Amino acid sequence: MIEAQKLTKSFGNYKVLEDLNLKVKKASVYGLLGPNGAGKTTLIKHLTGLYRQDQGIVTIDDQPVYENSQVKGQMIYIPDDLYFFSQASIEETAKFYAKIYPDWNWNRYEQLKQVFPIDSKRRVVKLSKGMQKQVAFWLGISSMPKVMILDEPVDGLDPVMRKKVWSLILQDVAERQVSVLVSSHNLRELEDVCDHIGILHKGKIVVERELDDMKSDVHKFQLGFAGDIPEGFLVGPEVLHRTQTGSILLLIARGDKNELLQRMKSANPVILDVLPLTLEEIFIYELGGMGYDIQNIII
Amino acid sequence: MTFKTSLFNKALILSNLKRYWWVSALYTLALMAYIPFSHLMKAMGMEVQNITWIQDTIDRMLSFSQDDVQAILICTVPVLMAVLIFRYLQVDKSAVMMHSLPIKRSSHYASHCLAGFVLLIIPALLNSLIMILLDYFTVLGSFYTLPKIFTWLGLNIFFCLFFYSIAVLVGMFTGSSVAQIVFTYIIQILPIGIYVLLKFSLEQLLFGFGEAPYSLFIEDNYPLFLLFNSAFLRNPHMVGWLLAYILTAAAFLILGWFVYKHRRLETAGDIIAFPALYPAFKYGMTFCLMLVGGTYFCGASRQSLPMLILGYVIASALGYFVAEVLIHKSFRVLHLYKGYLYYALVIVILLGGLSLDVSGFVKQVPSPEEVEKVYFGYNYNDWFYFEKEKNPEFLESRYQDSGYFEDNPPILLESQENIAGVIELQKHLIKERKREAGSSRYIIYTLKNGDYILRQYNINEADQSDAAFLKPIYESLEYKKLKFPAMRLVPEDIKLMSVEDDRSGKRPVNLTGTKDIRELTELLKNETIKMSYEDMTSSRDSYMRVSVLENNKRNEQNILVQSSFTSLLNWLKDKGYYDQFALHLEDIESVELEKAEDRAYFDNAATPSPVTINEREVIEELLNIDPSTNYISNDVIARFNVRNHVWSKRVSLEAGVSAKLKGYFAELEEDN
Repeated sequence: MIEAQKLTKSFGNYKVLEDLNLKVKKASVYGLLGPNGAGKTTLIKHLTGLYRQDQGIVTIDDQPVYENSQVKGQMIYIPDDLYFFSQASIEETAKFYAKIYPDWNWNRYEQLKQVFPIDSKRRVVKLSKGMQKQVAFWLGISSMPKVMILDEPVDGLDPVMRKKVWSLILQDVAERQVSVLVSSHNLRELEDVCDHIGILHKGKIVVERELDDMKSDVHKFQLGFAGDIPEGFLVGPEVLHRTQTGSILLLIARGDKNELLQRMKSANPVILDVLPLTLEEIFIYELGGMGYDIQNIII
Repeated sequence: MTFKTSLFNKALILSNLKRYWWVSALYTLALMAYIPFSHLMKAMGMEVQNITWIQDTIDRMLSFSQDDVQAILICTVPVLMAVLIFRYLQVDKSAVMMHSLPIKRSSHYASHCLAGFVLLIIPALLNSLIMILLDYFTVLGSFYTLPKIFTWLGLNIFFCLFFYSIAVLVGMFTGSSVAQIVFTYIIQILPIGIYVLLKFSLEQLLFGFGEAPYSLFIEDNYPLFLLFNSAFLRNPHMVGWLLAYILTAAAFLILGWFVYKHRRLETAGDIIAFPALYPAFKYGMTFCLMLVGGTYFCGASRQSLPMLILGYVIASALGYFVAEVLIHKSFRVLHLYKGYLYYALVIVILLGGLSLDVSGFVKQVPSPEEVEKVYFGYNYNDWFYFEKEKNPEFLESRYQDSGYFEDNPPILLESQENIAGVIELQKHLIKERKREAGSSRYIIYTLKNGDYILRQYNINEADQSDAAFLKPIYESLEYKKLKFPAMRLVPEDIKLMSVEDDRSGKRPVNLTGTKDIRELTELLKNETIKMSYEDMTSSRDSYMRVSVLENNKRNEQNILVQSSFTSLLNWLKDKGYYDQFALHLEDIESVELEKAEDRAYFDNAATPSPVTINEREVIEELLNIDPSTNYISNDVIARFNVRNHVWSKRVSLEAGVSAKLKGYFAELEEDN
């Protein structure tokens, strides 16, 4: 559905995106992860047809996005930094969108008033940041998009509202086959909603996998030994992280879980546990292997 | 989707109208208060004798001539509108939001442009409507006419469109609203600024370099000057000319559209939206500031060359680094010094080439056989329109003086002797290379092959070495015929001649008889032919003159009568006219001496008492002494008390005078 091939973009002498490939399937939610400055927003602005790429192709439904109003009419983009006309109320803004988006649905807009408890006569710019985000979702969902591109979408929303918003989006994904690309730092948030994850690092997608695959690929173990830890125990490239407290060893390793367990058992540990791994840990350790180490900060 | 709906997006246009209607409303009110309502109040409160004045004021306002308030409104409101309408493009947030909408760039541009233009013309339309109503229903009907109202409407829309198109185009090239405003005005003033500054620099570096003191072309064609000079009113081909400007404005808007399509959104907030233009901006600013700095330092230091160079260095460095700061939005730009060094290298080579006169410009002198004629005068534009363009009517219509060239024929010398004389003079000037004293004069050769050689020098008529070369030219009949109106007098055309003396306080003597007029004209001609170089350049004797009023002319001509015009003076004496108007020694009752500096420093109460002279012979000496011309402060003012009239002259203390007068001067010194 959404596809970028060999996408390259520079700002001046600084290369932000380099030979980037990305693919979002129809009716799926794609989570775009990356540290600050990795180029997430730049990538998103290419996917929404705002920036023109230096090289490469960006398509939605096999159609180039840049300057393509037909594609853009079926897509909504909710940026991190929202902009609304300064004098317009929610209702007036909705009227403006209704004239511009071909599939706008007034019924939906009216129904959503129950979800978003804001007086539609109020001026949008006078609302708080969180409420403006709600308005953006309200209007975005009412325009019946086939593609939603969301940059840090739930920032500033309270937990209840987050839940409501996500359930609305996921409902659309399920019922109307909407494709969603969402960037976030909030890994826990993505864990619950995404089915695909791409990790962007230094202008490249370094990992792109189904979330379940990813979880089954990296594992966290806790081991205890009766005496000293045997020398040469599991020191290969497969170990992403290793901490030792006394005779307790904490390992994060990549590979086949059973095979790894076999190898550990052969060293006869007293304790051997497989611990649940959060997406955050995967994120940190996958990138750690690429020189993006999380340094222990001593204050 | 049809073409029309896809190019103009209704929702965008409406949202712009909704957001910026207030600008339109304020402009409407301003125009209303300034034009129809103020006219109405003037017309209602009028007194009978003011009718022509009111008519004149109203006509001037409606034709945009000499109306600064309207001019200021016109050159600010459209620019403000263009800035507001395209503000969304200059701020990252709004640029992102607007362009994520399913609207193409061409549609964005066309819709925003149109909305702004509609908002600009509504105030003019409303005001025209009000004027039409006032024309029918109020006393203003006797001042307004429909053609006048529509002319006003047309001109208003025309200027709005013109300024709006420039501001829009400029806005496409920059990513900042402030820069958009600044650049809009700068590009209109820049050509004339560069012209003046470049000319100044070249004059310093190339001895003899000359050009027009300012460019009439720019003055008549750049919108800002156009608006304030109302040059379009003087243009004889107004309709074609307006059409050309409307086409230009349309071309600007189309170019803006093209630029918008290629503009990158990420440049919102940058001072220049196209990185390819950075060098042009950077070096353009460096060069302009260099010229400003050179002119400032050199001008402030009385044209010294080292100060010119110092000004160049300081100001160009400033310009370069300020441009870098603006481009990089950071003060850490010193590491970019290399670009400045390249620039400096190019400039050093250019300046070196200029000052070594590689092209031979300074020494270039034509040989007399090559020259067809030569202009030897003060006014570049006279030469340009009369000789080069062969279009004297243009300048006459611009000066609003249809007989201009008839009264002031340009000094174009064609005789072999004078051409050779001017060439010799030029060789002398190049050899001497003086810059300081004298007045600036053009020497412009028209060559037989159709080329021109244009030079400008300072020539000092009082300088002995210059005078030797000037004398044969000045004393030639050809020069005198062009220079002196007395040579061109035709007795049959003269209505009235009068003779007067400023010193005497007496009434002028009017001569109307054909015989008198014929004789006096003849005498004036003969005396002018006899005039020597010294008479022509002396500053004495500027008291007595003949005023001539010709048929079909509004202005009278004044011809000075010098003391060397003996046969003319004798004729006046024989006829008995002289005594009636001229000053005689016995008319002077007394003379008071006063130091010139006293006048400058003290008010009347504190002025030291002047030295009074009653001796006849000293008075006579003072009457005939040459006046001081250099205006140094230790001059003496001699005040002559004539019957119920006073006139004064400056006398130099250093002048060779008799012992008696010296005594009076000494007395004056002691008093102080």
